[in-house]
Amino acid sequence: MKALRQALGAAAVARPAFDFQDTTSDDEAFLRTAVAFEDLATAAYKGQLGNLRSREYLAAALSIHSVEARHAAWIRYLAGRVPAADPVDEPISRPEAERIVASTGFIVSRPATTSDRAPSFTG
Amino acid sequence: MLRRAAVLVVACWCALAIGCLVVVVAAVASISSSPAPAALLPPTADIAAPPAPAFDVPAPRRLDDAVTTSRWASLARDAEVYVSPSRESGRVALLSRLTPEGTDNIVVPFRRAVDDEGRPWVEAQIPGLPSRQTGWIESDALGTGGESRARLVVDRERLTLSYVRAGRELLRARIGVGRRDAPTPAGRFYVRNKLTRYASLRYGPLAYGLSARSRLTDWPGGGFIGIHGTDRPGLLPGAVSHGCIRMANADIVRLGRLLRVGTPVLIV
Repeated sequence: MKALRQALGAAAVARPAFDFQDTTSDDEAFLRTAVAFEDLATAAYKGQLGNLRSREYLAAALSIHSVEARHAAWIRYLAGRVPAADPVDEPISRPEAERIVASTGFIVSRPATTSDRAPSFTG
Repeated sequence: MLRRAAVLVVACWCALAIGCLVVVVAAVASISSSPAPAALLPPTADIAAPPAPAFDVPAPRRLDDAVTTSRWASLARDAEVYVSPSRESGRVALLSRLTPEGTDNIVVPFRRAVDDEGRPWVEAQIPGLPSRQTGWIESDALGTGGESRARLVVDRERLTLSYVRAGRELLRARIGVGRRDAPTPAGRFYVRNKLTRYASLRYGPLAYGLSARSRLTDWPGGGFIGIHGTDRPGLLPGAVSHGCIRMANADIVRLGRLLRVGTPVLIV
């Protein structure tokens, strides 16, 4: 992520806050969520490759995309699913990827830990 | 689960190794009975070299560095705190979702458990008196949070405050601590909020709230202590406060550039 943020500069989106709810406390829920997200990440990367005009950035993005695909196949295998079920992967668009992520409720607002109220400490 | 995953990974690697071996053996057998490969392959001189990636992805960093990393979580709702991971065990505290200053209340989880009915729990460091600093909370009461790789050390005898990150002391300042009749409590605590732009000369330009609570529990807000500036810098250093840690305004402003909510605080 650090490398991506440096590459994107001011175009990088703000760092999100996550709440994965109960998916991290149940083995099966964790597996199902991991499979869904690895598949989603692979499709989302592919959906953006056409927007990269720089061959150098395309090379860097492809090197990440292929590893995402390995992760997707690996977690599918661990979950007892066919690692590569289809001969061709379909990309998904950015709005569709964002809609899917938003529907999980995993991205939440950051905790409000600052205030301009006067302290009520003992002083 | 981890064991099963490990077995699967090992099995996967074995299958891969066996597969590679079969392919290599078959290839060697094929090559030994075929014309030289160079005669079959097209010339490569006309194939452009692939572009170099625009950036290198560095080696990943481990996330489970518990020695130097402290993680905190906000409360998603008011939360009851129990002696053990069960609703049947004694309740030791009721944590409000918000602090007296209106910020999200936070805890520092450090252990998980599941009760007999399958409900997940976490044991967490909580705000309160030194006599009750930990307890069990149902994990669905926790929201998102963050992490800290720094720590703050307050020495009540030497009257110093040190901010340390990655083994380096980045700030040291002289401080005021609690008087003998209202001592600053010793123990392991954490920073739970940051207050700025309030209208109070007494607390200086900046204040941090801690999870530590003084013996002055009937103080408005429950008697929690903080780290803040002062309008009486001439009293520093010394045992001059009602339990809070006072700093010169210039020092608290310097600290404000470094210290984040959730950072562990050791008071000795």
